Amino acid sequence: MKPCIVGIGGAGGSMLKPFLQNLDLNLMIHDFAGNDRLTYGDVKGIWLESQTADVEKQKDHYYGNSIKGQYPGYLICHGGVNEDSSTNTFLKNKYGFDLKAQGYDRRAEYLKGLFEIFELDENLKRLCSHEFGGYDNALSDYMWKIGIRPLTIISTGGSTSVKDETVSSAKSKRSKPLPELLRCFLKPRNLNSDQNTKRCDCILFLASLGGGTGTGFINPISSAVRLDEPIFPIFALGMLTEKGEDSPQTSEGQRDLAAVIALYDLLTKESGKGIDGLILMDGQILKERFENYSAMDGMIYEAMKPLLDIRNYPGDEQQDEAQAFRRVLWDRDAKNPMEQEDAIQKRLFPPVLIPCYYTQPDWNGDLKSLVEGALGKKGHVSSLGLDGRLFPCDPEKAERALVFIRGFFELTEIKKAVMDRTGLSEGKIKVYRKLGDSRSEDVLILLRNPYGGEIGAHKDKGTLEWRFHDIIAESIEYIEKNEMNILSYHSYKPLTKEYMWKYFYQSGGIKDQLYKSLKYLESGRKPFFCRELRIFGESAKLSQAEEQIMVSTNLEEQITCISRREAERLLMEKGIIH
Amino acid sequence: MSPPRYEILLLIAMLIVLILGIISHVGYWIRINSHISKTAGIDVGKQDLRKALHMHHGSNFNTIYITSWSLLLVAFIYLYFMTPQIFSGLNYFSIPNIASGSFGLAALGAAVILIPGSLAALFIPRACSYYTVTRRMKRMSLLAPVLLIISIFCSINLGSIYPTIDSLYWNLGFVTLILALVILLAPFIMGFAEEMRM
Repeated sequence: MKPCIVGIGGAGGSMLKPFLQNLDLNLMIHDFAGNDRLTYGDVKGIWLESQTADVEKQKDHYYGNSIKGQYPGYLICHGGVNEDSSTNTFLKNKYGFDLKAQGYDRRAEYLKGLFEIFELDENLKRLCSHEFGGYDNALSDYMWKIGIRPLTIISTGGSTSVKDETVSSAKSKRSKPLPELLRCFLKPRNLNSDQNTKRCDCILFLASLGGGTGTGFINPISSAVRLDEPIFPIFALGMLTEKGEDSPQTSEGQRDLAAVIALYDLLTKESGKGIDGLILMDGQILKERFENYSAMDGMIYEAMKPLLDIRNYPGDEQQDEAQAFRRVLWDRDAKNPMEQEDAIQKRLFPPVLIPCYYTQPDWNGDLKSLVEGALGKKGHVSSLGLDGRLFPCDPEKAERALVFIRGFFELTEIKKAVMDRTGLSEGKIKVYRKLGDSRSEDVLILLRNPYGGEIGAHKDKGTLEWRFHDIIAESIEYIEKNEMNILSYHSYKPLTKEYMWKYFYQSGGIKDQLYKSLKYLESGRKPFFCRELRIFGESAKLSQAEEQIMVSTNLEEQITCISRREAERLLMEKGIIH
Repeated sequence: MSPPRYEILLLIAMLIVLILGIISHVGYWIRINSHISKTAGIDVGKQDLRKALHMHHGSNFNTIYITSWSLLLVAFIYLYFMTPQIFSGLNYFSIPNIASGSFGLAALGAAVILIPGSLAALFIPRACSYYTVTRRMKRMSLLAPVLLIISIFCSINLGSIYPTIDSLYWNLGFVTLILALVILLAPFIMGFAEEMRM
């Protein structure tokens, strides 16, 4: 897997930095690699930002302007929109949205609404298409086609737009490539490569879920990608912001609401319409382990290394190819009856993946200690920040485990260690072995949907249900107490205010849905976000039959979980297991 | 029988360092092969293993590494074979046609780079690509060409002042040469040491 890592917003840009650090020598006088810098896992990336000021005040000037061919580069989301844009004027006058807004004031609903209008308002669509040469959306299409697409294999396979070519020619002029013969000699990896091997086969978004640029852009860009390539693998790594007030003095309730809206939207886009998986990390856990954001960013990079490592174990070469990984993520259990499965397939929502990471020196510790370091010891549910779980969860509730491990280990032993800790069957554990670097061994375990199946789990500190229950409850409280603040955002026009009111406060709106989600979490139901909601368009409806299917599937899971726990309790009582 | 010259003893020491590098490389392969054979669950051929272990170190590092190995050979030849001081029968001065030419030294250097240097450049970076080279180690490798240029300048000076002998210059030339050799072999030695620790 070779992802194009897209950092969105201020936090996304900081998280992206270590991924794009040049591992090659810096010769100061000349760069033989040109723009083709050496990164871990050969990843490429771009930083998308809406605040021009944030880009300009970078102290280290790490990112250059990608439009000028500089790499690693940033792209201003509204860079393609002129000050006197007729599309923007129409938007401002009718809805009160501004395409050139410098940040979004922690309001996830702002960008959500803005992008929905582009899908629904025919006049706006026509205007945009006319002004932006066929673009359906002045922001997301621009970011995808100018910023991200040229870095992916799609750009070599399909039609390349005129603007793509402009950017790539600007890049080639700047990089002053070596004569081809010398270049091949210095870079043996390019001897047998075509364009595709240099480009990325999937997208990984990095963003904080605090309600700003990062939170709002993942879905719209995913939609733009899906128009080009419906099955192109797209993953997102979202960082839930820490508890308490943050540095720009945004209240926890406001950030939680933004995070919940973002998570709700990401997790209710059906397969083929949005992302393929959401990797969730909890800023609170990282904050407890690290003192500053830079150390936290470093940790995120280290934790993702086993996934990015391209040195696969001999014999395991093809399995971590992006499309194969995507298929594994969507794979469902075949135990359900055919009819149920068909119905669920139609409404398949992307899974939540909880990363658990641990590293140890290769001369110290064994496989058991490595897996326990990542997942915590058996029975330790609430060990926030004390083990490798980067988001609160109970590994025993996971549907599947995807194990990325670096070091010399036998496949069966890895599976056994993970089975012992999670209780998963062998078929539900997928192992990706990498050779690593001989100095240490580490493991990244992605647990798929490690929640549900237990009534009252939201009361146990350290479970995923507990964390989600907390932020959803905070969000509801914020919605109820801040109607004026939510609806009277300075630029909103009456039409927008009306739709916003319906979205937040009308029966069936987000507040109602969040109350339902709380109940689902309390009863152990999975998933707890069930219905796509829109501000301007018509929200998705869940039929009675589908509701029934979800409940029956859930009952089956609950019974399995209760039986397993009861059996474990009895075995422990008799001293058979400890 | 007279005791071997001091310079010959140092040459033997340098060869020992080189052999240590080769032993480390072979040992690393044996250890890695054994680890993978035990755990892979399939028969792993040499070619598959090479492919699996291959790692990119970057064009800049490769350039410096190839240049350094080529310079190492030039520095070694200049230090030991420039004047008749060490090998009286086999040295640069025994080929008067080249030694008296304006570009004689450059021709000698070019010959060394072209024949053994190009072979080293072909095989050694490839061998190095099977090892983890940390950024710190890469930055250290920048010292190698600097040290080797110092060594070459010392040898050129010794050639210019011959028959006068200046042991300070020779010693400085040798120390910089062996230091550069250790830096260039560091990825192999460190890689093997890490494997041994497991």
